[in-house]
Amino acid sequence: MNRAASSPGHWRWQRPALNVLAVLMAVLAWHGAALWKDNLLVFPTPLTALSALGDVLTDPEQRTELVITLRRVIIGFAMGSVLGVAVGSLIGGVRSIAMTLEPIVHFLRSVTPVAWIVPATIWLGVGEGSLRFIVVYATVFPVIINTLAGLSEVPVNKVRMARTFGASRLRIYRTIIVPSAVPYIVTGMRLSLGYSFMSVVAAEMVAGRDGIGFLIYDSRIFFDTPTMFAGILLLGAAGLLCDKVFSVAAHRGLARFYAGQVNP
Amino acid sequence: MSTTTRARADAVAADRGRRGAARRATLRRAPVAVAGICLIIIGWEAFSRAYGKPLLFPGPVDTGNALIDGLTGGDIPAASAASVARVLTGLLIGSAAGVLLGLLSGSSRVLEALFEPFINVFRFIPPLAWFAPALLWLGSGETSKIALIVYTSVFVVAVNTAAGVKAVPRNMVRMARTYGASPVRLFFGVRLPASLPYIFSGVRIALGNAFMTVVTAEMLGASSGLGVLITQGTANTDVRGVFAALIVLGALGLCADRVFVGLLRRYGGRFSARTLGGP
Repeated sequence: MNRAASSPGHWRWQRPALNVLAVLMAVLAWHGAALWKDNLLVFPTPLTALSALGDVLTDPEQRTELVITLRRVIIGFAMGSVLGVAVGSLIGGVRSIAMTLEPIVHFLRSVTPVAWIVPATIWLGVGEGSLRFIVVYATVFPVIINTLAGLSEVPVNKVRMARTFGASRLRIYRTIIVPSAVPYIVTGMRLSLGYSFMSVVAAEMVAGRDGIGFLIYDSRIFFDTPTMFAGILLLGAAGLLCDKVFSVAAHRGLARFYAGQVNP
Repeated sequence: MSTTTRARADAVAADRGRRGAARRATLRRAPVAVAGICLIIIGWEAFSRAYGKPLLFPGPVDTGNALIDGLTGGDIPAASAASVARVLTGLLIGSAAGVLLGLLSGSSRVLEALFEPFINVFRFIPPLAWFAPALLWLGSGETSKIALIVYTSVFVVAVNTAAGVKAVPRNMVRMARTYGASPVRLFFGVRLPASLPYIFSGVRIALGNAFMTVVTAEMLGASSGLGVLITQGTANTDVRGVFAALIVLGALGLCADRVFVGLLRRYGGRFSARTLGGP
Protein backbone atom coordinates (compact mmCIF):
# COMPACT_ATOMS: atom_id res chain seq x y z
CA MET A 1 0.00 0.00 0.00
CA ASN A 2 2.73 2.43 0.97
CA ARG A 3 4.83 1.63 -2.07
CA ALA A 4 1.86 2.10 -4.31
CA ALA A 5 1.09 5.40 -2.62
CA SER A 6 4.60 6.66 -3.25
CA SER A 7 4.39 5.91 -6.98
CA PRO A 8 1.04 6.96 -8.39
CA GLY A 9 2.16 6.28 -11.97
CA HIS A 10 2.78 2.68 -11.03
CA TRP A 11 -0.72 2.48 -9.53
CA ARG A 12 -2.38 3.81 -12.67
CA TRP A 13 -2.22 0.51 -14.52
CA GLN A 14 -2.30 -1.69 -11.42
CA ARG A 15 -5.81 -0.69 -10.47
CA PRO A 16 -7.57 -1.60 -13.75
CA ALA A 17 -5.43 -4.76 -13.87
CA LEU A 18 -6.68 -5.76 -10.43
CA ASN A 19 -10.26 -4.92 -11.47
CA VAL A 20 -9.97 -7.21 -14.49
CA LEU A 21 -8.27 -9.90 -12.42
CA ALA A 22 -11.06 -9.84 -9.84
CA VAL A 23 -13.76 -10.13 -12.49
CA LEU A 24 -11.91 -12.97 -14.22
CA MET A 25 -11.49 -14.84 -10.96
CA ALA A 26 -15.17 -14.40 -10.14
CA VAL A 27 -16.28 -15.61 -13.56
CA LEU A 28 -13.99 -18.63 -13.27
CA ALA A 29 -15.30 -19.37 -9.78
CA TRP A 30 -18.88 -19.03 -11.05
CA HIS A 31 -18.14 -21.41 -13.91
CA GLY A 32 -16.49 -23.91 -11.59
CA ALA A 33 -19.35 -23.75 -9.11
CA ALA A 34 -21.90 -24.23 -11.88
CA LEU A 35 -20.03 -27.26 -13.24
CA TRP A 36 -19.71 -28.69 -9.75
CA LYS A 37 -23.40 -28.14 -9.03
CA ASP A 38 -24.12 -29.69 -12.42
CA ASN A 39 -27.71 -28.47 -12.65
CA LEU A 40 -27.93 -25.89 -15.41
CA LEU A 41 -31.63 -25.30 -14.80
CA VAL A 42 -31.07 -24.03 -11.29
CA PHE A 43 -27.57 -22.62 -11.58
CA PRO A 44 -26.38 -21.71 -15.08
CA THR A 45 -22.76 -21.25 -16.13
CA PRO A 46 -21.59 -17.80 -17.23
CA LEU A 47 -21.71 -19.00 -20.84
CA THR A 48 -25.35 -20.10 -20.71
CA ALA A 49 -26.25 -16.83 -18.99
CA LEU A 50 -24.44 -14.87 -21.71
CA SER A 51 -26.17 -16.79 -24.50
CA ALA A 52 -29.52 -16.17 -22.77
CA LEU A 53 -28.56 -12.49 -22.65
CA GLY A 54 -27.85 -12.65 -26.38
CA ASP A 55 -31.27 -14.24 -26.94
CA VAL A 56 -33.02 -11.55 -24.93
CA LEU A 57 -31.22 -8.83 -26.87
CA THR A 58 -31.76 -10.31 -30.34
CA ASP A 59 -35.30 -11.65 -29.98
CA PRO A 60 -37.45 -8.64 -30.94
CA GLU A 61 -40.23 -9.62 -28.57
CA GLN A 62 -37.97 -9.88 -25.55
CA ARG A 63 -36.01 -6.80 -26.56
CA THR A 64 -39.19 -4.77 -26.20
CA GLU A 65 -39.31 -5.77 -22.51
CA LEU A 66 -36.15 -3.76 -21.94
CA VAL A 67 -37.52 -0.82 -23.92
CA ILE A 68 -40.77 -0.93 -21.93
CA THR A 69 -38.97 -0.95 -18.58
CA LEU A 70 -36.61 1.84 -19.63
CA ARG A 71 -39.52 3.93 -20.87
CA ARG A 72 -41.28 3.48 -17.53
CA VAL A 73 -38.14 4.48 -15.66
CA ILE A 74 -37.47 7.57 -17.78
CA ILE A 75 -41.05 8.88 -17.86
CA GLY A 76 -41.63 8.19 -14.16
CA PHE A 77 -38.26 9.68 -13.24
CA ALA A 78 -38.88 12.83 -15.30
CA MET A 79 -42.39 13.34 -13.89
CA GLY A 80 -41.26 12.60 -10.34
CA SER A 81 -38.30 14.99 -10.60
CA VAL A 82 -40.37 17.88 -11.95
CA LEU A 83 -43.03 17.32 -9.32
CA GLY A 84 -40.38 16.96 -6.61
CA VAL A 85 -38.64 20.23 -7.50
CA ALA A 86 -42.01 22.02 -7.68
CA VAL A 87 -43.27 20.71 -4.34
CA GLY A 88 -39.86 21.16 -2.73
CA SER A 89 -39.64 24.80 -3.85
CA LEU A 90 -43.18 25.45 -2.66
CA ILE A 91 -42.50 23.94 0.75
CA GLY A 92 -39.10 25.57 1.03
CA GLY A 93 -40.33 28.95 -0.14
CA VAL A 94 -43.36 29.38 2.10
CA ARG A 95 -42.84 28.80 5.81
CA SER A 96 -46.45 28.12 6.80
CA ILE A 97 -46.79 25.53 4.02
CA ALA A 98 -43.56 23.93 5.20
CA MET A 99 -44.88 23.48 8.74
CA THR A 100 -47.95 21.70 7.38
CA LEU A 101 -46.53 19.67 4.57
CA GLU A 102 -43.15 18.66 5.92
CA PRO A 103 -44.46 16.10 8.43
CA ILE A 104 -46.77 14.68 5.76
CA VAL A 105 -43.90 14.42 3.28
CA HIS A 106 -41.75 12.61 5.82
CA PHE A 107 -44.57 10.24 6.62
CA LEU A 108 -45.40 9.44 3.00
CA ARG A 109 -41.70 9.05 2.22
CA SER A 110 -41.53 6.26 4.80
CA VAL A 111 -44.32 4.29 3.12
CA THR A 112 -42.85 1.80 0.68
CA PRO A 113 -43.79 2.84 -2.88
CA VAL A 114 -44.75 -0.66 -3.99
CA ALA A 115 -47.33 -0.89 -1.20
CA TRP A 116 -49.34 1.74 -3.12
CA ILE A 117 -49.79 -0.67 -6.01
CA VAL A 118 -53.08 -1.90 -4.55
CA PRO A 119 -54.86 1.46 -4.26
CA ALA A 120 -53.18 2.54 -7.51
CA THR A 121 -54.58 -0.41 -9.47
CA ILE A 122 -58.01 0.17 -7.95
CA TRP A 123 -58.01 3.85 -8.87
CA LEU A 124 -56.02 3.88 -12.10
CA GLY A 125 -56.72 0.38 -13.38
CA VAL A 126 -54.31 -2.44 -14.09
CA GLY A 127 -51.48 -1.41 -16.37
CA GLU A 128 -49.36 1.57 -17.30
CA GLY A 129 -51.02 4.20 -15.10
CA SER A 130 -50.56 2.39 -11.82
CA LEU A 131 -46.99 1.34 -12.63
CA ARG A 132 -46.16 4.93 -13.50
CA PHE A 133 -47.72 6.05 -10.23
CA ILE A 134 -45.36 3.76 -8.32
CA VAL A 135 -42.26 5.06 -10.12
CA VAL A 136 -43.31 8.69 -9.65
CA TYR A 137 -44.01 7.99 -5.98
CA ALA A 138 -40.57 6.44 -5.53
CA THR A 139 -38.75 9.31 -7.25
CA VAL A 140 -40.58 12.33 -5.91
CA PHE A 141 -39.54 12.20 -2.24
CA PRO A 142 -35.75 12.16 -2.53
CA VAL A 143 -36.05 15.14 -4.90
CA ILE A 144 -38.37 17.03 -2.52
CA ILE A 145 -36.12 16.40 0.45
CA ASN A 146 -32.95 17.38 -1.38
CA THR A 147 -34.59 20.49 -2.84
CA LEU A 148 -35.55 21.48 0.71
CA ALA A 149 -32.01 20.83 1.92
CA GLY A 150 -30.64 22.90 -0.96
CA LEU A 151 -32.96 25.80 -0.23
CA SER A 152 -32.06 25.80 3.45
CA GLU A 153 -28.31 25.80 2.74
CA VAL A 154 -28.41 29.02 0.71
CA PRO A 155 -25.54 31.25 1.91
CA VAL A 156 -27.24 33.93 4.01
CA ASN A 157 -24.54 36.52 3.44
CA LYS A 158 -24.95 36.35 -0.32
CA VAL A 159 -28.67 37.02 0.04
CA ARG A 160 -27.93 39.89 2.43
CA MET A 161 -25.43 41.35 -0.01
CA ALA A 162 -27.86 41.13 -2.90
CA ARG A 163 -30.53 42.81 -0.78
CA THR A 164 -28.11 45.56 0.22
CA PHE A 165 -27.42 46.23 -3.43
CA GLY A 166 -31.15 46.45 -4.03
CA ALA A 167 -31.86 43.20 -5.87
CA SER A 168 -35.52 42.30 -6.19
CA ARG A 169 -36.87 39.11 -4.61
CA LEU A 170 -37.23 37.50 -8.02
CA ARG A 171 -33.67 38.39 -8.90
CA ILE A 172 -32.36 36.99 -5.60
CA TYR A 173 -34.32 33.82 -6.26
CA ARG A 174 -33.01 33.49 -9.80
CA THR A 175 -29.39 34.40 -9.24
CA ILE A 176 -28.64 33.11 -5.73
CA ILE A 177 -31.19 30.69 -4.39
CA VAL A 178 -31.70 28.50 -7.44
CA PRO A 179 -28.01 28.19 -8.34
CA SER A 180 -27.03 27.18 -4.81
CA ALA A 181 -29.82 24.59 -4.63
CA VAL A 182 -29.02 22.97 -7.98
CA PRO A 183 -26.24 20.63 -6.76
CA TYR A 184 -28.56 19.32 -4.03
CA ILE A 185 -31.38 18.77 -6.50
CA VAL A 186 -29.04 16.90 -8.83
CA THR A 187 -27.95 14.64 -5.96
CA GLY A 188 -31.58 13.97 -5.09
CA MET A 189 -32.38 13.17 -8.71
CA ARG A 190 -29.48 10.76 -8.92
CA LEU A 191 -30.75 8.93 -5.83
CA SER A 192 -34.21 8.93 -7.37
CA LEU A 193 -32.93 7.34 -10.54
CA GLY A 194 -31.73 4.36 -8.51
CA TYR A 195 -35.06 4.20 -6.66
CA SER A 196 -36.98 4.32 -9.93
CA PHE A 197 -35.15 1.20 -11.12
CA MET A 198 -35.79 -0.54 -7.80
CA SER A 199 -39.47 0.33 -7.77
CA VAL A 200 -40.17 -0.38 -11.43
CA VAL A 201 -38.83 -3.91 -11.07
CA ALA A 202 -40.85 -4.47 -7.90
CA ALA A 203 -44.01 -3.06 -9.46
CA GLU A 204 -43.60 -5.13 -12.61
CA MET A 205 -43.21 -8.25 -10.51
CA VAL A 206 -46.26 -7.53 -8.39
CA ALA A 207 -48.66 -6.07 -10.94
CA GLY A 208 -47.02 -5.97 -14.37
CA ARG A 209 -47.71 -7.89 -17.54
CA ASP A 210 -44.46 -6.94 -19.28
CA GLY A 211 -41.04 -5.42 -18.67
CA ILE A 212 -37.76 -6.85 -17.40
CA GLY A 213 -39.06 -7.35 -13.85
CA PHE A 214 -41.94 -9.40 -15.21
CA LEU A 215 -39.57 -11.32 -17.53
CA ILE A 216 -37.38 -12.32 -14.58
CA TYR A 217 -40.28 -13.26 -12.34
CA ASP A 218 -42.13 -15.08 -15.11
CA SER A 219 -39.05 -17.20 -15.92
CA ARG A 220 -39.39 -18.97 -12.58
CA ILE A 221 -42.46 -20.83 -13.86
CA PHE A 222 -40.33 -22.51 -16.55
CA PHE A 223 -37.26 -22.87 -14.31
CA ASP A 224 -35.51 -20.67 -16.88
CA THR A 225 -32.65 -19.48 -14.70
CA PRO A 226 -30.44 -18.36 -17.62
CA THR A 227 -33.12 -15.84 -18.68
CA MET A 228 -33.36 -14.63 -15.08
CA PHE A 229 -29.64 -14.04 -15.10
CA ALA A 230 -29.86 -12.28 -18.45
CA GLY A 231 -32.53 -9.97 -16.99
CA ILE A 232 -30.47 -9.33 -13.88
CA LEU A 233 -27.36 -8.50 -15.93
CA LEU A 234 -29.42 -6.22 -18.20
CA LEU A 235 -30.87 -4.36 -15.21
CA GLY A 236 -27.42 -3.91 -13.70
CA ALA A 237 -25.99 -2.63 -16.98
CA ALA A 238 -28.95 -0.32 -17.63
CA GLY A 239 -28.83 1.07 -14.09
CA LEU A 240 -25.09 1.68 -14.24
CA LEU A 241 -25.32 3.28 -17.68
CA CYS A 242 -28.23 5.57 -16.74
CA ASP A 243 -26.43 6.65 -13.57
CA LYS A 244 -23.23 7.50 -15.44
CA VAL A 245 -25.07 9.29 -18.26
CA PHE A 246 -27.11 11.28 -15.77
CA SER A 247 -24.18 12.32 -13.60
CA VAL A 248 -21.95 13.25 -16.55
CA ALA A 249 -24.78 15.14 -18.27
CA ALA A 250 -25.73 16.95 -15.07
CA HIS A 251 -22.19 18.01 -14.29
CA ARG A 252 -21.48 19.07 -17.88
CA GLY A 253 -24.79 20.79 -18.46
CA LEU A 254 -24.95 22.45 -15.07
CA ALA A 255 -21.21 23.05 -14.72
CA ARG A 256 -21.65 26.72 -13.80
CA PHE A 257 -23.56 25.74 -10.66
CA TYR A 258 -20.62 23.69 -9.48
CA ALA A 259 -18.09 26.51 -9.83
CA GLY A 260 -15.67 26.75 -6.95
CA GLN A 261 -16.35 23.26 -5.64
CA VAL A 262 -13.40 20.97 -5.32
CA ASN A 263 -15.38 17.76 -5.73
CA PRO A 264 -18.49 18.29 -7.79
CA MET B 1 -4.33 28.61 19.13
CA SER B 2 -6.32 30.58 21.71
CA THR B 3 -7.90 32.73 19.01
CA THR B 4 -9.08 29.68 17.11
CA THR B 5 -10.45 28.19 20.33
CA ARG B 6 -12.29 31.38 21.12
CA ALA B 7 -13.59 31.60 17.56
CA ARG B 8 -14.88 28.09 17.85
CA ALA B 9 -16.52 28.81 21.24
CA ASP B 10 -18.18 31.86 19.68
CA ALA B 11 -19.36 29.75 16.78
CA VAL B 12 -20.78 27.14 19.14
CA ALA B 13 -22.56 29.82 21.18
CA ALA B 14 -23.94 31.43 18.03
CA ASP B 15 -25.08 28.04 16.84
CA ARG B 16 -26.82 27.36 20.14
CA GLY B 17 -28.48 30.77 20.05
CA ARG B 18 -29.65 30.20 16.51
CA ARG B 19 -31.01 26.79 17.45
CA GLY B 20 -32.92 28.26 20.40
CA ALA B 21 -34.37 30.96 18.18
CA ALA B 22 -35.35 28.36 15.64
CA ARG B 23 -37.08 26.30 18.32
CA ARG B 24 -39.02 29.34 19.55
CA ALA B 25 -40.03 30.10 15.96
CA THR B 26 -41.19 26.49 15.53
CA LEU B 27 -43.30 26.70 18.68
CA ARG B 28 -44.86 29.94 17.52
CA ARG B 29 -45.81 28.40 14.19
CA ALA B 30 -47.04 25.08 15.65
CA PRO B 31 -50.74 26.13 15.66
CA VAL B 32 -50.48 26.95 11.94
CA ALA B 33 -49.05 23.50 11.26
CA VAL B 34 -51.73 21.72 13.29
CA ALA B 35 -54.44 23.74 11.57
CA GLY B 36 -52.94 22.90 8.18
CA ILE B 37 -52.82 19.18 8.91
CA CYS B 38 -56.42 19.28 10.20
CA LEU B 39 -57.43 21.05 7.01
CA ILE B 40 -55.79 18.35 4.90
CA ILE B 41 -57.52 15.58 6.87
CA ILE B 42 -60.89 17.33 6.51
CA GLY B 43 -60.22 17.72 2.79
CA TRP B 44 -59.42 14.01 2.54
CA GLU B 45 -62.67 13.11 4.32
CA ALA B 46 -64.67 15.46 2.10
CA PHE B 47 -63.04 14.06 -1.04
CA SER B 48 -63.77 10.50 0.02
CA ARG B 49 -67.42 11.37 0.87
CA ALA B 50 -67.75 12.98 -2.56
CA TYR B 51 -66.28 9.87 -4.17
CA GLY B 52 -68.97 7.91 -2.39
CA LYS B 53 -67.35 4.46 -2.28
CA PRO B 54 -65.78 4.03 1.15
CA LEU B 55 -64.47 0.58 0.23
CA LEU B 56 -62.50 1.95 -2.73
CA PHE B 57 -61.51 5.37 -1.39
CA PRO B 58 -61.85 5.37 2.40
CA GLY B 59 -61.71 8.62 4.31
CA PRO B 60 -59.71 9.20 7.49
CA VAL B 61 -62.62 8.04 9.70
CA ASP B 62 -62.97 4.69 7.95
CA THR B 63 -59.21 4.25 7.80
CA GLY B 64 -58.89 5.13 11.47
CA ASN B 65 -61.55 2.59 12.41
CA ALA B 66 -59.85 -0.09 10.30
CA LEU B 67 -56.53 0.81 11.92
CA ILE B 68 -57.95 0.58 15.45
CA ASP B 69 -59.72 -2.71 14.67
CA GLY B 70 -56.54 -4.14 13.15
CA LEU B 71 -54.38 -2.98 16.05
CA THR B 72 -56.65 -4.15 18.88
CA GLY B 73 -58.14 -7.42 17.69
CA GLY B 74 -56.81 -7.91 14.17
CA ASP B 75 -53.65 -9.12 12.53
CA ILE B 76 -51.67 -5.88 12.32
CA PRO B 77 -49.44 -6.51 15.40
CA ALA B 78 -48.50 -10.02 14.27
CA ALA B 79 -47.92 -8.89 10.69
CA SER B 80 -45.76 -5.93 11.78
CA ALA B 81 -43.76 -8.17 14.08
CA ALA B 82 -43.10 -10.61 11.24
CA SER B 83 -42.01 -7.85 8.85
CA VAL B 84 -39.85 -6.07 11.42
CA ALA B 85 -38.19 -9.32 12.46
CA ARG B 86 -37.25 -9.99 8.84
CA VAL B 87 -35.95 -6.47 8.33
CA LEU B 88 -33.88 -6.52 11.51
CA THR B 89 -32.36 -9.96 10.90
CA GLY B 90 -31.44 -9.13 7.32
CA LEU B 91 -30.20 -5.67 8.19
CA LEU B 92 -28.01 -6.96 11.01
CA ILE B 93 -26.32 -9.60 8.85
CA GLY B 94 -26.09 -7.30 5.83
CA SER B 95 -24.67 -4.38 7.81
CA ALA B 96 -22.08 -6.56 9.54
CA ALA B 97 -20.96 -7.93 6.18
CA GLY B 98 -21.07 -4.45 4.64
CA VAL B 99 -18.98 -2.92 7.42
CA LEU B 100 -16.41 -5.69 7.07
CA LEU B 101 -16.28 -5.31 3.29
CA GLY B 102 -16.10 -1.54 3.55
CA LEU B 103 -13.36 -1.57 6.19
CA LEU B 104 -11.29 -3.96 4.11
CA SER B 105 -11.70 -2.03 0.88
CA GLY B 106 -11.27 1.30 2.62
CA SER B 107 -7.97 0.41 4.24
CA SER B 108 -6.21 -1.36 1.38
CA ARG B 109 -6.00 -0.16 -2.19
CA VAL B 110 -5.39 -3.66 -3.52
CA LEU B 111 -8.55 -5.00 -1.86
CA GLU B 112 -10.44 -1.91 -3.00
CA ALA B 113 -9.42 -2.57 -6.61
CA LEU B 114 -10.47 -6.20 -6.22
CA PHE B 115 -13.90 -5.45 -4.70
CA GLU B 116 -14.69 -2.34 -6.72
CA PRO B 117 -16.13 -3.95 -9.89
CA PHE B 118 -18.56 -6.10 -7.89
CA ILE B 119 -19.72 -3.34 -5.58
CA ASN B 120 -20.26 -1.05 -8.58
CA VAL B 121 -22.28 -3.58 -10.55
CA PHE B 122 -24.32 -5.16 -7.74
CA ARG B 123 -25.21 -1.72 -6.40
CA PHE B 124 -27.20 -1.11 -9.57
CA ILE B 125 -29.04 -4.44 -9.66
CA PRO B 126 -32.37 -3.92 -7.85
CA PRO B 127 -32.65 -6.40 -4.97
CA LEU B 128 -35.99 -7.71 -6.19
CA ALA B 129 -34.44 -8.83 -9.47
CA TRP B 130 -32.86 -11.58 -7.35
CA PHE B 131 -36.20 -12.67 -5.98
CA ALA B 132 -36.88 -15.30 -8.66
CA PRO B 133 -33.46 -17.01 -8.39
CA ALA B 134 -33.67 -16.75 -4.60
CA LEU B 135 -36.97 -18.62 -4.71
CA LEU B 136 -35.35 -21.39 -6.73
CA TRP B 137 -32.24 -21.64 -4.57
CA LEU B 138 -33.53 -20.96 -1.08
CA GLY B 139 -37.21 -21.86 -1.30
CA SER B 140 -40.19 -19.66 -0.62
CA GLY B 141 -39.68 -19.49 3.16
CA GLU B 142 -37.88 -17.03 5.40
CA THR B 143 -34.38 -17.65 4.06
CA SER B 144 -34.98 -16.18 0.62
CA LYS B 145 -36.54 -13.01 2.07
CA ILE B 146 -33.77 -12.49 4.58
CA ALA B 147 -31.17 -13.13 1.87
CA LEU B 148 -32.76 -10.38 -0.23
CA ILE B 149 -32.59 -7.93 2.69
CA VAL B 150 -28.96 -8.85 3.31
CA TYR B 151 -28.29 -8.14 -0.37
CA THR B 152 -30.13 -4.80 -0.13
CA SER B 153 -28.08 -3.60 2.80
CA VAL B 154 -24.60 -4.98 2.22
CA PHE B 155 -23.49 -2.78 -0.70
CA VAL B 156 -24.88 0.51 0.59
CA VAL B 157 -23.19 -0.06 3.94
CA ALA B 158 -19.95 -1.18 2.27
CA VAL B 159 -19.75 1.91 0.04
CA ASN B 160 -20.41 4.25 2.96
CA THR B 161 -18.00 2.49 5.29
CA ALA B 162 -15.23 2.65 2.70
CA ALA B 163 -15.89 6.36 2.21
CA GLY B 164 -15.75 6.82 5.98
CA VAL B 165 -12.47 4.98 6.39
CA LYS B 166 -10.93 7.07 3.64
CA ALA B 167 -12.17 10.29 5.20
CA VAL B 168 -10.46 9.67 8.55
CA PRO B 169 -8.48 12.84 9.33
CA ARG B 170 -4.89 12.06 8.40
CA ASN B 171 -3.48 14.03 11.30
CA MET B 172 -5.36 11.89 13.79
CA VAL B 173 -3.80 8.79 12.32
CA ARG B 174 -0.38 10.46 12.38
CA MET B 175 -0.80 11.50 15.98
CA ALA B 176 -1.86 8.03 17.08
CA ARG B 177 1.19 6.59 15.29
CA THR B 178 3.47 9.17 16.88
CA TYR B 179 2.26 8.13 20.30
CA GLY B 180 3.07 4.54 19.41
CA ALA B 181 -0.37 3.07 18.80
CA SER B 182 -0.26 -0.42 17.35
CA PRO B 183 -2.07 -1.05 14.05
CA VAL B 184 -4.83 -2.89 15.94
CA ARG B 185 -5.24 -0.03 18.39
CA LEU B 186 -5.11 2.45 15.50
CA PHE B 187 -7.93 0.57 13.84
CA PHE B 188 -10.21 0.21 16.86
CA GLY B 189 -9.28 3.51 18.46
CA VAL B 190 -9.16 5.84 15.46
CA ARG B 191 -10.29 4.47 12.13
CA LEU B 192 -13.42 2.62 13.22
CA PRO B 193 -14.83 5.38 15.49
CA ALA B 194 -14.07 8.03 12.88
CA SER B 195 -15.99 6.14 10.22
CA LEU B 196 -19.02 5.50 12.49
CA PRO B 197 -21.05 8.46 11.17
CA TYR B 198 -20.62 7.16 7.62
CA ILE B 199 -21.52 3.62 8.68
CA PHE B 200 -24.65 4.85 10.44
CA SER B 201 -25.81 6.85 7.45
CA GLY B 202 -25.23 3.82 5.22
CA VAL B 203 -27.30 1.63 7.54
CA ARG B 204 -30.00 4.30 7.57
CA ILE B 205 -30.32 4.18 3.78
CA ALA B 206 -30.23 0.38 3.89
CA LEU B 207 -33.06 0.41 6.44
CA GLY B 208 -35.37 2.28 4.08
CA ASN B 209 -34.48 -0.05 1.21
CA ALA B 210 -34.98 -3.09 3.43
CA PHE B 211 -38.57 -2.07 4.18
CA MET B 212 -39.21 -1.68 0.48
CA THR B 213 -37.73 -5.09 -0.31
CA VAL B 214 -39.49 -6.94 2.47
CA VAL B 215 -42.94 -5.55 1.64
CA THR B 216 -42.60 -6.47 -2.03
CA ALA B 217 -41.29 -9.94 -1.21
CA GLU B 218 -44.22 -10.44 1.17
CA MET B 219 -46.67 -9.25 -1.44
CA LEU B 220 -45.31 -11.87 -3.83
CA GLY B 221 -45.86 -14.62 -1.29
CA ALA B 222 -45.40 -15.08 2.45
CA SER B 223 -47.19 -16.61 5.40
CA SER B 224 -47.48 -13.32 7.30
CA GLY B 225 -46.34 -9.74 7.16
CA LEU B 226 -47.57 -6.28 6.22
CA GLY B 227 -47.17 -7.08 2.52
CA VAL B 228 -49.60 -9.97 2.99
CA LEU B 229 -52.15 -7.63 4.61
CA ILE B 230 -51.88 -5.35 1.59
CA THR B 231 -52.47 -8.14 -0.93
CA GLN B 232 -55.39 -9.40 1.16
CA GLY B 233 -56.92 -5.97 0.71
CA THR B 234 -56.77 -6.42 -3.08
CA ALA B 235 -58.41 -9.82 -2.87
CA ASN B 236 -61.30 -8.38 -0.84
CA THR B 237 -61.27 -5.04 -2.73
CA ASP B 238 -61.23 -3.41 0.69
CA VAL B 239 -58.88 -0.43 0.62
CA ARG B 240 -59.58 0.42 4.28
CA GLY B 241 -57.36 -2.41 5.47
CA VAL B 242 -54.73 -1.47 2.87
CA PHE B 243 -54.72 2.13 4.08
CA ALA B 244 -54.37 0.94 7.68
CA ALA B 245 -51.40 -1.21 6.64
CA LEU B 246 -49.89 1.72 4.72
CA ILE B 247 -50.18 3.92 7.80
CA VAL B 248 -48.50 1.26 9.94
CA LEU B 249 -45.74 0.95 7.33
CA GLY B 250 -45.18 4.68 7.26
CA ALA B 251 -45.16 4.90 11.05
CA LEU B 252 -42.73 1.99 11.39
CA GLY B 253 -40.42 3.41 8.73
CA LEU B 254 -40.52 6.86 10.26
CA CYS B 255 -39.85 5.56 13.79
CA ALA B 256 -36.96 3.40 12.61
CA ASP B 257 -35.51 6.37 10.75
CA ARG B 258 -35.85 8.67 13.78
CA VAL B 259 -34.12 6.08 15.98
CA PHE B 260 -31.25 6.10 13.53
CA VAL B 261 -31.01 9.86 13.39
CA GLY B 262 -30.96 9.81 17.18
CA LEU B 263 -28.14 7.27 17.23
CA LEU B 264 -26.27 9.33 14.65
CA ARG B 265 -26.57 12.50 16.75
CA ARG B 266 -25.69 10.72 19.97
CA TYR B 267 -22.73 8.60 18.88
CA GLY B 268 -21.83 9.76 15.41
CA GLY B 269 -20.99 13.41 15.94
CA ARG B 270 -18.36 12.76 18.61
CA PHE B 271 -15.80 11.61 16.10
CA SER B 272 -16.81 13.44 12.97
CA ALA B 273 -14.31 15.63 11.21
CA ARG B 274 -16.34 18.78 11.82
CA THR B 275 -16.34 18.54 15.61
CA LEU B 276 -12.61 17.87 15.58
CA GLY B 277 -11.88 20.88 13.44
CA GLY B 278 -11.34 19.35 10.03
CA PRO B 279 -8.78 16.92 8.69
